[in-house]
Amino acid sequence: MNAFLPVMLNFFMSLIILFIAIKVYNIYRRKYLLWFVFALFLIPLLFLYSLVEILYLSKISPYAIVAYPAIIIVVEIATIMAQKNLFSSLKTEEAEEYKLLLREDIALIRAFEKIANYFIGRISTLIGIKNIEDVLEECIESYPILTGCYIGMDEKLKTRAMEENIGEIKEENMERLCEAFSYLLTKLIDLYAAFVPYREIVEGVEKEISKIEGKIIKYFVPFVLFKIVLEPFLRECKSDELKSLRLAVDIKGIYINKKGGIEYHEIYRYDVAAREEKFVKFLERMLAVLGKRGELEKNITEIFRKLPNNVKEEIYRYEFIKKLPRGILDEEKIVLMSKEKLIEELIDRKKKLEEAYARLAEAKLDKMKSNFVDIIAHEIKTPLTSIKTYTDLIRKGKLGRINKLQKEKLDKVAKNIDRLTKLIDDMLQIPSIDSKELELRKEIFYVKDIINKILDDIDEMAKEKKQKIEVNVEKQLTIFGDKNLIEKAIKNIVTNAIKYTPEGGKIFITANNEGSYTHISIKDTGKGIEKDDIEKIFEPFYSKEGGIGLGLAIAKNVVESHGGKIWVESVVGKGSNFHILLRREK
Amino acid sequence: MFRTLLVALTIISLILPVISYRYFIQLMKLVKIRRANFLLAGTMTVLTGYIFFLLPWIFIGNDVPEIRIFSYYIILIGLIILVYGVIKIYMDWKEVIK
Repeated sequence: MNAFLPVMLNFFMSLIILFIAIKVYNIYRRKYLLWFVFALFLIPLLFLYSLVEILYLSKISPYAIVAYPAIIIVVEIATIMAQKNLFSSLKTEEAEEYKLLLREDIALIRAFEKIANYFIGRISTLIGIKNIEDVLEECIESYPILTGCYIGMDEKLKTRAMEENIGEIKEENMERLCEAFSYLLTKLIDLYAAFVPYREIVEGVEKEISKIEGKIIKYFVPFVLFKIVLEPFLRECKSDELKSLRLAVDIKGIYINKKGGIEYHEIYRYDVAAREEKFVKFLERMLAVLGKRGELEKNITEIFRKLPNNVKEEIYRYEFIKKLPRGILDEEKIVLMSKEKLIEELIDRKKKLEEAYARLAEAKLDKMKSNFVDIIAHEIKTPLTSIKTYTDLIRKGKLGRINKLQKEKLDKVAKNIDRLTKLIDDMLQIPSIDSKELELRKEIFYVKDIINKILDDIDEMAKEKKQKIEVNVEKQLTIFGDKNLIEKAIKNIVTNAIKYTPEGGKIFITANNEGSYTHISIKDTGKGIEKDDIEKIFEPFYSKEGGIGLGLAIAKNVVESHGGKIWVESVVGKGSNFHILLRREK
Repeated sequence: MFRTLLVALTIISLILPVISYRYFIQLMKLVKIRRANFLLAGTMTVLTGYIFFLLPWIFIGNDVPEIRIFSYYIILIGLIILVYGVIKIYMDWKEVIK
């Protein structure tokens, strides 16, 4: 393995860190930063040394390795010095700026400071800085948190002293700050509005607000909603309109002053949803009073659309648009709703598509299964017919005499050929396998007839297991259906009953009249079927005891093809009772 | 002699980070720098790599190239964490500084 690659990568990484440290130092030029830069400068050098040591020095002397801890010690001392310097500078008054550097409340103060300075710059030439200082003093009186704000020599609002006094960052502080600065801005706007149309003021504020960084923009939302979106309309109101509006807007914490300016108090103490609710309430009352429905909504919509993107993004969150009264931002509402609807529809369609795919895959699999069984069955059946024909010819001595032993063996062959043929016929009779409907030759026949025939066929089998079969079938009871198939279905169930009933057990076959149906029941005293298996036993090829698992599937298929019903009741250890319901007459 | 000197220097170089960490904690009480945990995690990883780097020299007096490379990679991980942390902190600062 080569150490060259990791050493070079480490070298470049440490260079990046050094580069950033130098960049910060270029901005701040503080002593503690210089220590950091020095420490970080040694690290890439350490990796360069490492390279030289690997290539040359390790071959000369093991003492070369001592340089590593030595350099590391220097780096660590430099880091400690840097931290110590930073710590002591943080403790001193002049270094407060670092303490405040990353705080959200400071960012908020500076953002408000910038907007305030925008107004002060414009108003001071019109009314003189003295008046602005008076306004500031009044604000400090109302909101002591503003203590420390002052107008500097350059006729700009300074907040540094205030930043230093603000103490720990707290949610409460943020609320008070927003409240206080909103009040100050309202006062400044009121002064400016005496000289400039309010709409023009709004444009300037929007420009300033668009520069505010993302993380604190949320604090400006009430200011934007009330002062930028709504106030322009209030400022244009006639005095009587304004009077009725002032009476109508009875919302806690929000007031309209005589000039049409909106003042709000303690609004930041509410959460976003509550603030939005207050705004919507205000808006609804304003629309009701001003009564210029249509035109007013259109103008408010226009203002909403012109808002800076950073504010819009913040405002349009939390489904705010949906809460607005009709006529305001209707298109956006439609887009939003159609978007939601579209998403819902897409989810729905996706679900349907997945279901369709699943069905298709199942159908394909079924078809493949069916084709496979069909082909295999027919391919086996053809040679089987010829084997059977020749076996019969030989057995009957048509192709020359055979001895007793040969005849015995050939009888066995013939018997097995019959079994095989039956099995193939069974397989072809399951629609889910060969996808063909059963061809039914329906007629009315007596149940007794088929039961007797079945008993003849299975008699030997039952005797072998010393089982007793009790039959109780009404003589005149009939079924309308394909005699052969129904006989086969019942025979399959009876055969199963014999198979799963222990020696000496009993099987009861009963049939009786149930309205227009004949109810046949085959009950055994076998080991019964477990609850989990009851639903599965009618599925093709489901077998727990080594059989092929087609008997019950065929029975179910035959009964259901006749519009009948088949089910089973079973108690493990006591036995099962199969029920068949079939139509009696046409 | 060589190993004694190395062990002595290593011990010093491991005591100093403890002092440094104490200052760091004090500083964090004053200035809650976001993502400062990255600085801590990165430095700890680099130190781990450094310890691995010195282990063969201290205990067997020789270089074991595999351990050396392994330690370089650990240091690399530490530096990557540091770079990430430093960049993020710088971006935060930049927003406020401007």
